[in-house]
Amino acid sequence: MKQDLFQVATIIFSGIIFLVVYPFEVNAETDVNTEKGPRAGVFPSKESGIHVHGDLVISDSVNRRGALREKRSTPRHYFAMLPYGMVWHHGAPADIRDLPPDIHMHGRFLLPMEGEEKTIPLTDKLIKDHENHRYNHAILLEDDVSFYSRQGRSWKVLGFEQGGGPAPRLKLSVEPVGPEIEGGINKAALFDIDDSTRIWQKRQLVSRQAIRPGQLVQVNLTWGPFDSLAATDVWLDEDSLGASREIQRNRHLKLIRSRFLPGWIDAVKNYDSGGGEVTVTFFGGMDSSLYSDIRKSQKVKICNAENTLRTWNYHQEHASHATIIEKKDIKNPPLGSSDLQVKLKVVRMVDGFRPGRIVRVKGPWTYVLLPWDEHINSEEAYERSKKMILP
Amino acid sequence: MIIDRKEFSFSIHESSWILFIITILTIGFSPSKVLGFEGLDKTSQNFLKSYCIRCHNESKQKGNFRLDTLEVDFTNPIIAQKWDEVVFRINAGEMPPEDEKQPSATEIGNLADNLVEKIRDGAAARMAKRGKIQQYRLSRKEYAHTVYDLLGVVFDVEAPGAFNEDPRWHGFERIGSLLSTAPSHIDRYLRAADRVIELASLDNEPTSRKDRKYPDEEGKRYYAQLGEGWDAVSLKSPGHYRIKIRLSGLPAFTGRIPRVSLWHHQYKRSVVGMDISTTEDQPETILFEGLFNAGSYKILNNAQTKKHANGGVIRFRQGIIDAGQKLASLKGGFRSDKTKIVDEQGVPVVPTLLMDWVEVEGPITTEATRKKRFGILPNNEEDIEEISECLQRFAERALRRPVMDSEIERYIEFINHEKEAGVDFRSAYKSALSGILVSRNFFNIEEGSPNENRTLLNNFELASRLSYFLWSSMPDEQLFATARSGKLNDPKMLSKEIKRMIADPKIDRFLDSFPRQWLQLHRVGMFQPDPNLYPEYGPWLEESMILETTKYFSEMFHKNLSIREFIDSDWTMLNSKLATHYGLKKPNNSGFTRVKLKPESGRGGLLTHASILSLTSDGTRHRPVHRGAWLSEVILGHIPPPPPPNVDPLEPVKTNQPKTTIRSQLEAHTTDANCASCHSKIDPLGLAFENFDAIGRWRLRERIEAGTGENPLVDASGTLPDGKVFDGPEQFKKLLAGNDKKLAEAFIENLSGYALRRLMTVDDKPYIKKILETSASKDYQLKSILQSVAESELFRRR
Repeated sequence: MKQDLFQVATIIFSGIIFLVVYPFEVNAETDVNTEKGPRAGVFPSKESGIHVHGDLVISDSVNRRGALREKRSTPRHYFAMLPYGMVWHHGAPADIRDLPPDIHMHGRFLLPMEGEEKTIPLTDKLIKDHENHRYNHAILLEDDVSFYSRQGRSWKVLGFEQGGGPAPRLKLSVEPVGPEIEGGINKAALFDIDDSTRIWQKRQLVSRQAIRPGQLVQVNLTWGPFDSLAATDVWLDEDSLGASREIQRNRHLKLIRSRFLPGWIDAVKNYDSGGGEVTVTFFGGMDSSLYSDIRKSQKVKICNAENTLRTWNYHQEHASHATIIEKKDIKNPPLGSSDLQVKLKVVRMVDGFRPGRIVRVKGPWTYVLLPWDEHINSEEAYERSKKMILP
Repeated sequence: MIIDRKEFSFSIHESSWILFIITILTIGFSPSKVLGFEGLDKTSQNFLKSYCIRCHNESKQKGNFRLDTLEVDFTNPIIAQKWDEVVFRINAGEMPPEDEKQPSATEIGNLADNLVEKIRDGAAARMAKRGKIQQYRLSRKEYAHTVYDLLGVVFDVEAPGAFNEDPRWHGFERIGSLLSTAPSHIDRYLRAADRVIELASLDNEPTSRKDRKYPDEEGKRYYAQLGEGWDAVSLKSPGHYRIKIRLSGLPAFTGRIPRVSLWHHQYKRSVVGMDISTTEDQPETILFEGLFNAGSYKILNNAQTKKHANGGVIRFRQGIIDAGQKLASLKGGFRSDKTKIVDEQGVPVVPTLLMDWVEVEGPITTEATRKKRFGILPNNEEDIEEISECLQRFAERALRRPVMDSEIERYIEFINHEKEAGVDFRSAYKSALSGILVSRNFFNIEEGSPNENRTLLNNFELASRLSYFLWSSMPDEQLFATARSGKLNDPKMLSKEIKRMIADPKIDRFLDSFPRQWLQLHRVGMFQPDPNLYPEYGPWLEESMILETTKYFSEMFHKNLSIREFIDSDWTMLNSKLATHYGLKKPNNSGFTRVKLKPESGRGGLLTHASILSLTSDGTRHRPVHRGAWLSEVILGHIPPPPPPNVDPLEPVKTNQPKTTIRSQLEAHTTDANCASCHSKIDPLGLAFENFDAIGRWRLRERIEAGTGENPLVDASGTLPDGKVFDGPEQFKKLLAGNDKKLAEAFIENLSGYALRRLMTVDDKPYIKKILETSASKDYQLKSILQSVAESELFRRR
């Protein structure tokens, strides 16, 4: 009897402990409530969102928006990148502007961020028929080679097959090597392959004859007739994939150095004589040398930006000089965040420097004048940028 | 009689001895040679004989210098120069040479003190040497007050290109011997005179208007952050104006209150201002009334806007909103590069002004002004008698004395000459008036007569001296009348006039001018504090610091407090800006208020005013030696001798060295005999205030920018030259205030110098002593001292 009572008490006690402790095990910086969109200033949890895939049929590189089309007859799934949303191409950090049209992409899409509910226009009919279109803010967008190689997957060549039917095409037969992954192809597949497919081996373009059964390859895909997937690129070895990766990495470095490293403001301390201090967490998913450059700096510049990461006017002139007074490493940063947070003493406390608002910080990089349309130059341009204009 | 040669013959040996003895006796009993410096005190004589004369005499002139013949006529410039060289060499340790017997630090100090005093007395005596007539040029401020009191004309003497800046002697800008007249002065006087007469002529009296201006239109408000403002006021002519502004002054989220001022665009300075603290919904109407120059003015949210060290500029905002619109509605709504207006709670981030309208009335010509200008222009251009009368009346007021007919005839001749040349009467007549204003008798105060060497001033000279002492301007009608009656020299009448003049509002000119000059307040902000080290320093803080001191002086005067309270008191005059600077509770109203101080505030008396503490700083740090030198000169009346040349400056602490205070770097002043001789008397006076930083804030630790370790604790202890020990400013002030007689003597000397426009000499000492005795009987009260000086025999002497 006593033992039974003891066991019941233990169970009840454990339950109480569980209910008390469990909430505190959650990372305080993430939002576990996946039914609502993420809040400004809070990174979402890893479990948030749904997997979406399709061909990139619309891209607006200035506002970081686009549309994926899963099949020939499915409606376009319009999306906007979250401010901390990451794009990967050829296994390296990238931007929408780096992605060729029609490339097949995998995305992790969330509900719209707080305040951004109207950015992507939705109709009631669309939602009724395709409820997943409500998830239209991407935290991650990857091409196939990035998607699969990130998760330890590659393809083993089985051989070539000649397809039949009304449009007979040569196909590359492959089977997956590595773990099963959500949203991916987890069984043997046939990819269209023809003379437009680029075959890469040892940093060179080679012919289809270089493909042999048994090889482990990576591929990028696009739409094919009858909703097949056609290979745009096949990498036969790490050398060739490494070369593509390196080119993309440098392209992205050039982009961020000229547009400045994005992040958001965690906290603000105003001075009553002008200026003040802002604490900034940088977004993740970018080349590590960018964060190293900031870590090594003392004097930087900071300007405010919108959720599209577009800055106001010429951001150099509208930036505030700043001094880094504190650097903090974030352990186990949530998805979307980097591992770097800094506190800056700013000369000019610009109106956009408020908690949750986006900023871009210039490290020790050469300033360049950007094309005028990348900036928001007027109230009218700002109003226009708030909502995606559908073609 | 035959003398037996044997009795009187000596051997050669005996003869040598006799010759030797005679020589010794001759040398021993011959009168001592008179040395030139035997006019000095015994201590100095002994010093020179002990350490100097051996190598600088008739038979040996090392360095081609003879000291034995150097006399003590310090009024002779060549002799004074040589004695100055003697002091310098001994002070610098060059003399005596190292291989000679060395004097002690005390001996050096005593000699230096004695000789410097003699040299200074000689300089003063030279400066005071005067012939039968003495002329003291008016300072430019006195000129401005004079033309205003004479004709009601506002003439800005500080406008660019108007008048030369007056040279100062240790802060005083009225010392006659320094205020020489150069051709450039005459040129400026000519232009000024024409302008003044033009403005004073009644036919040119500008029409007074009252105009109200709104931002854009009624129903709008103009908001302005720091350093921004509304260009809303434009005055076509100088004069008396009433400028009303309806506005709200919103404190920053920290409680910091904005200051509104009228900023003159051309002169690039604020002319008037005040703190303003109201809510958004309850604006206040403020009034600035007074004399304004022509030009355009901005209603400015006055604060220093900073340039960042690496070139970035803080940009603040201004703009127009609807009257009913809350400032909080501007939160985040404007994507711009400028400073945010409100924080997350909708409260202004920086002090902000919200202006509704401004109303300008003027130029106002008062009856008093019209009266001043009455009768300067004759009604009948042909009536020579009337013309002469008008000129006579004007000239007597302008020249401040009776004018002879022959003097007026010259101007009549001039007018006729102009008319013959085709100039109309009115222009010719105005030129004559201008001529009077360019007369040396106008822009100079003249004392003495060509035909006699008077020691006393006559009635008119006394009237001028009195009015320029108390009012920085010409006598008024009543004072003129008393002078004309010949009774001003009568002590009772003089005393009555002095009391009347002290009660007149124009005494405010003295209450502003004298403390600024005596305390050398022109040095405040001379080395602008580094904005990176002192970001809170700005023009309004600087102005507030100066106003605290002048208003403190004024309060002491009106309450007739003892001058001991210059040193130690339990009150001061504060506005909200200064209260914040001192870390004290802000007064409830705008403007300055007398505030009682708690003992733990560390404040009380002039010596803890931020103005006094900061005027000796160099922009980056305080300078205790300069503080000590200032105190010695201004409060104790003893100007320390200048340092020898080529003294190495203090090196900043290196980054790899432990942090150390400035005081510890001055150790050489106590250990090196050459330094200690003077610095033992100077340094303690400054080190007593080590608890105050370069801009007068209280501290316990001295902030050292470079170096390792913690900022070191300050040490405000010391020993006065008389051996008394103190630990901190409070104890120091008590010691100083305890010697009120010495304080009073120094103060009376300074006040007398201001009044008489020259330095005091040894010849003035007996009269100073009498003033001191009179003041002592009244506990050295400030107003009483002023009265005693004005009533003294010294004041009535040339």
